Amino acid sequence: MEELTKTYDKIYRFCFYKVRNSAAAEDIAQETFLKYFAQNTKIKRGEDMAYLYTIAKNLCIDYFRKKQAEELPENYPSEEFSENSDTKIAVRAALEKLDERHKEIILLRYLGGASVNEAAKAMGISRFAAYRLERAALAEMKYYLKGAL
Amino acid sequence: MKFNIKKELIEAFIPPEPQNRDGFLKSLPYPKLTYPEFVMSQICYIRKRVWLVSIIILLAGIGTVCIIPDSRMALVWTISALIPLLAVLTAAEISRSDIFGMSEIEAGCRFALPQVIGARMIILGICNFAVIASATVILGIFSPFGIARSALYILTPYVSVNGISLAIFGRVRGQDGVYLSSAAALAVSLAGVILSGKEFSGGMSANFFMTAVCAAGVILMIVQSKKILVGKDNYYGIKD
Repeated sequence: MEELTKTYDKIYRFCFYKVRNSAAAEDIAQETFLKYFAQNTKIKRGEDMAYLYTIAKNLCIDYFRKKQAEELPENYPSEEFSENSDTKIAVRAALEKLDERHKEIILLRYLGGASVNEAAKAMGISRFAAYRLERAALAEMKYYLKGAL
Repeated sequence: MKFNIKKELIEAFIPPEPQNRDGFLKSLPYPKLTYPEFVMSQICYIRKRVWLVSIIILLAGIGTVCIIPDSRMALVWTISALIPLLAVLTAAEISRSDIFGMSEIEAGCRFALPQVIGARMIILGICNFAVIASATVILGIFSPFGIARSALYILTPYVSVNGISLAIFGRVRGQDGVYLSSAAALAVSLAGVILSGKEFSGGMSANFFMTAVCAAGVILMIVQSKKILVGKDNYYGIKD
């Protein structure tokens, strides 16, 4: 149960960054689990975590499509992260400046708590490529933060 | 102060606490770990020395056959003298959850202690059965005793030391229990060596004596195992 709670928190955190709303993030996280368990018997570390991230990512995309089509912002107003010091705001701003691939790897690794292996599988790249991508993303973030802090 | 970007990244994106997590996870019909899967997961908790001794006993049997091919009696007593060591390790391993406890906390949180101990008994039982069966086959082929008597000569020290060790671990905790069990194993091994020098080449009285000791050992082992499992149930108030 404890392991499942940890996995839930990772997926929720990942979804929250994507949709910026706790209720929507929880809905997506829960739907992710329901979809996952409809097809699998148990969560194994590695490949299955990557599968969970992929389901969550697709559900977040669906959420935005639905939001665009139906104009539902009132149901899920945008929220902010808990901490709002200058450093935290600068870090978030730096992340926003990254290109999609770099943002994705940082999101999976540090916000979603995925291992390099899990992140690589979720992104459909090799472990080595994920490692290199992460290093490049972190270097880019450092560059942006150097100017901001 | 050094800026740790990895740490900052984690801290910068702390979302609000999820509201419905616990309720959702409680109602989530996710499949629990099955008992065979749980038993398999316990293999990694068993110390390497148990596997090592099992291999050594098998190798000793094979080695004796290869090095001293003419000494058929030596083969019987080499294996019989080593078997108590396996029995002590098995008993110590079964009792370890109770003696030290700490390394099994994670499993202990998800499963009742009798289930953890029971799983270990199953794993070690299968492993020991493999060792004893292999040793019996080796003895059956290379010694003059045949399969049945070879099994008796191997099982007797095993079950008697295992029963005695479980009884000791039930009463004496910690290292003292290990020392006492080792002493019991040594005594049984020595008894085997002494008996091997006597008139013990298969007379009816010798066989009867061995069978009686073996039966007593089996009964002691069953009683002690039951005490460990049922005793824990009562102690922790666990129903399932």
